[in-house]
Amino acid sequence: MARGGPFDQERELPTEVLKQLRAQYHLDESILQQYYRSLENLFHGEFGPSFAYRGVSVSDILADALPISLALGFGALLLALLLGLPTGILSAWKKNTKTDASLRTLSSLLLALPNFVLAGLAISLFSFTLEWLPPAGSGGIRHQILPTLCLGLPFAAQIFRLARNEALSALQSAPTRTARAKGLPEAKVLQRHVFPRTLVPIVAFLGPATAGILTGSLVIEQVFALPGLGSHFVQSALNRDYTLSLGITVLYTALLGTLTFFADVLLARLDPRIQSLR
Amino acid sequence: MSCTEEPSALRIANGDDVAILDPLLATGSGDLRVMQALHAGLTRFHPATLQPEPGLATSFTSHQGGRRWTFHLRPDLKWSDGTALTSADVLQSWKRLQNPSTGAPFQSWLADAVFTATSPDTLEVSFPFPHPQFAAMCSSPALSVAPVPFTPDAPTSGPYQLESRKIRDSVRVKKNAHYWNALEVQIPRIDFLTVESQFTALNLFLSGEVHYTPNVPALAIPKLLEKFADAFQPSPQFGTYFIRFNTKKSPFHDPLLRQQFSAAIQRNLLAESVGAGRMPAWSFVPPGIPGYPSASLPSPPQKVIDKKIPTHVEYLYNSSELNRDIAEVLQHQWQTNLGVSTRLVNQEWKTFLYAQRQGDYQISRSSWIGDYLDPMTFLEIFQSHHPNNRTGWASAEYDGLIQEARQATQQDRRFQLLHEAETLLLREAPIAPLLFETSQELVSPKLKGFHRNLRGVVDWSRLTLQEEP
Repeated sequence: MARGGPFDQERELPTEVLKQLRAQYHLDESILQQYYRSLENLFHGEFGPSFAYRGVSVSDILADALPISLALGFGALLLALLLGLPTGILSAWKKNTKTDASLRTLSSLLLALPNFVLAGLAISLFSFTLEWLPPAGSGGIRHQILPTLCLGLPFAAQIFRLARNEALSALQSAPTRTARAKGLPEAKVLQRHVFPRTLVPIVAFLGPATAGILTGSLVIEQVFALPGLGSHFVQSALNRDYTLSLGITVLYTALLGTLTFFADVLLARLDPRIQSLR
Repeated sequence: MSCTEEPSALRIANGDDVAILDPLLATGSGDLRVMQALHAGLTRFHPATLQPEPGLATSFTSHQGGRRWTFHLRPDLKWSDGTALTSADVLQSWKRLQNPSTGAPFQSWLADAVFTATSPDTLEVSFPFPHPQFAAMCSSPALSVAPVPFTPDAPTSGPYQLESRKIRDSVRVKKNAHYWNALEVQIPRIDFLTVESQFTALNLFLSGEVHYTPNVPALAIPKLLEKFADAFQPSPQFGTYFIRFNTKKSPFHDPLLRQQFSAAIQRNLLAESVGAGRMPAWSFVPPGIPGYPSASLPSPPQKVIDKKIPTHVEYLYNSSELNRDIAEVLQHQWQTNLGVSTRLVNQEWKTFLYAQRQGDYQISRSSWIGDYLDPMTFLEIFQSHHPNNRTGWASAEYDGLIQEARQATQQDRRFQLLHEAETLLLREAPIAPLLFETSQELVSPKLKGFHRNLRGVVDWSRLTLQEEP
């Protein structure tokens, strides 16, 4: 169990004040009573008041932060898909050419660079050298570009790898060989026999990745000062803000469960082998 | 955080998010910056000297060396919604501070005070002991006048009122047309932006998106001093960085050993290596209090008793770059000067506080910032039973000196007693002062009327913003 409490600070509170605060937040009750209270609140869709943000409910905090994380996360995912999927297929199709080699090098680089380094480079280039985009902040589409890019690019590199691997094996598979032998144009081969197969591992990856990207963009949120969910995850634990910490964990679990479920349903539609297991 | 496109708004990179909007409860420096804009006290501080000046009160007088105070409120004071603000409102606000169920950290300031309104614009306050600093304390948010019952969007008494608050994004305040000195308020709107990363704050400042940021990353300091000398001028702060020894446990129950460890610290070298204008501390109370004679560390103990020096000690600090740097310098100096090997232990903030409170340490990093310009705000914490003592050190002589100083009605006598107490504290060495804090503010040259002061507080109502510096 984490030591220390939500009301600990450098300047210790007067004993009487601390006693009153603990009573207000029900910290004077037994752990069991507190647990029961949390469960009861949860059934009513409530998490109670935040310990750190006095007078603000956890539901309000999450409701404010979720849309920002959703906008950033979905923007980044869309970018990752639009960049990663076609380049992955292209790279497999052009296997062992210069195009393949440069795309693979680029993807390795993007995967290896921590996103704060990527963000630093992007800010230095786009905000200070070219002076095109603001270095941080929210409020307009211009503010969204850099964080979306920095969050999305490493995911694009991951999708690129998944797509390339799957496309490679699809290109060498029997149906593709047969289609080519029958004289189907190469574009149709890619469209009918390669593209649907590359989607399978990507969809499986996207379920948990989406939940992660929505809640775990901590570094990007800090660098670009975006008020999303990411830093609540860390800050609520550091602040011993029990209710906010619980709220964000429940939200993450719900997101992870829902998105994995949808990914599984979609997979069953995409991959006949999964349906045949039923 | 949103960046407004509207003209003449002042934009502040305010550090961590504003958690508490109640002036009586706020303690975080970012929260207090917002409180200074929203809520006014009976006095306000001079932006450079911090001496109290008339605020909501047009005049204030002390009697019996500060045991009794009389405040005369300005006529026709109004809340930001235009309703009248009277001495009854001041009483209510202060009663709320006094009430333990409010949960106010500064409740002790008024715990033993008796205050009455003798007329709609006259207030009498009395204490069992002299409070010569009470007028200065009245300029703090804790003693400002806030409506009861309090809600964050309730009317305000200060130069600004709340316009909007977005969690982890920004707090926006707009000018209060009913403020007693509204004519002087030049900046119509201030955005306090949540910018947790100091690097991000610096980026925003350098690209002109914000006009003020209270802290800068340590790495950037040399460059800022060289290239942005008009915006970055580290200045002394009313705060001391020090270490606590756990006097309850061996080996630091021995004052001689504590003195040796303190004397083995080369403070000049330490200050040089952490840089940023930090000054070596030879006393616990920082300099800058008019009339207070600084105490100084005693000369090192003559007799070094080698067998008493332990071979290993443990140094506890809370995780931060600066704390780590200082810990490493101390480790090196104790190794070189005493032959002691120091194990460095770092913990996150709340775990660290818990360990310090439980006495679960040998030596631990600490700092203290004064609430008002008086030695008492530093020295009172080392009374035997003070909750912020946390060293286990108890001295009846020290407690007696502090108590006597509390009762003294002559300032000279009071300062002399406090000086004696500080000398005793440094001699007994439950703590060892290391450095005096400095402000790391970055202030845009466009911001006119800005003064760097010892407490790093800003009176937003006296600033102007000029688009051309």
